Amino acid sequence: MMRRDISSREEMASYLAAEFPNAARRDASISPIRGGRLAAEAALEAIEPSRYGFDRNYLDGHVTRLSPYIRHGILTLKQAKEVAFTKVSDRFHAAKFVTELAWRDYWQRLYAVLGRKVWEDREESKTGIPPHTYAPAMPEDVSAARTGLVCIDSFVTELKSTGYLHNHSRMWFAAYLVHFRRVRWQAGAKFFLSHLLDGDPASNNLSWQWVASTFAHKPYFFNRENLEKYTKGKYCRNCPVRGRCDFEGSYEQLEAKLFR
Amino acid sequence: MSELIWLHPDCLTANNPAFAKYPQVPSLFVFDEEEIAEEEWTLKRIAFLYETLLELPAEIDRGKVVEKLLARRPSKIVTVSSVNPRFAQYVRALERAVKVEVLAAEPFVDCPANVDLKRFSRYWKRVEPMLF
Repeated sequence: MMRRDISSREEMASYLAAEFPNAARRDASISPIRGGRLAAEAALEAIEPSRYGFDRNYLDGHVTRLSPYIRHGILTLKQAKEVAFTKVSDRFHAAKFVTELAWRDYWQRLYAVLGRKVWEDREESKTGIPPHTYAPAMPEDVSAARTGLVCIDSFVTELKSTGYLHNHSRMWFAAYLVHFRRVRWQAGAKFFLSHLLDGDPASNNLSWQWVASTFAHKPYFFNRENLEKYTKGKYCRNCPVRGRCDFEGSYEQLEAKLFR
Repeated sequence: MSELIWLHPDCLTANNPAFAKYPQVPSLFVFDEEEIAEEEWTLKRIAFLYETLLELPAEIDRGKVVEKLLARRPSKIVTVSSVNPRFAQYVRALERAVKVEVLAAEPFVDCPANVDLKRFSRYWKRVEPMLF
């Protein structure tokens, strides 16, 4: 049996590190995001579904950060939907938020059908790049946050220290790894699962496949202009390779460079 | 010998239907060392669950899930449904030794299980009218 008489988060961190030495060896940090029903209900009470609908793609937008609680059934999707409806004058104003809840339901329904096959390509990739070209393992410079790209390195640092990333950061990171670095999506999916508090093989892997184009009609990618807009320049501003990074150029130029 | 509620990482709500149906029954959560090793969890994932469990009336253990549950020699195990493939595997193993009651989790939307899942757009077309 494990102890329940823990009086502080510091004590919890050292107790758990001793109980789970392998997990601690991978990364012994504890997220500032708290577990539990009280924290979940506070996060749920704070949602602003109407503003979420307008600015959720911006890193400083009104995202809810409910995913770790929903993933573990601390909050249910239905409960989140019902609270969202109490916070808007017209249910239509919560439409974007409810759509995102539906994505989670969709991934879970697919998980019931696919099981462990969520680790396999759903379809052929649409990138035109031969599958064997993609590297099987996570490159060392990426997992160590030493690519020299301030955005990518910041995503890795944030993921490792908080166990959370904004959805747009997840998409940019996944596109970087799969398309710009030509790494198999499974390596990235595994890296995310080891750190994300909301880590779920269905939502996670199938979203990676959406970026990779093994579960979409076309690959997802981005250029610097897009990243700069939705981050309001917070990474590009201080980036040593600004103006000459991998993401520079129009979508047409990048498409020609990345795919065949 | 008595009943035992099995809590797993997909059903950590305080409104758990197993608590509602069996309010006097003890509950047990087992950190699944196989899953943690396979998915290479870092400590923060464990801490998030542990912190959640401290708010629930549950005993906490770690190891092999089926072994730990059966070691309590329950007359029956009560739990809440999950789509994680490990869940079905563990329920099958438990059922060889003991009666298992699986309660349904609260559905997001009451749509038929055979809804078309080829793309989100097909699913959404079907469920959207039921959600608003």
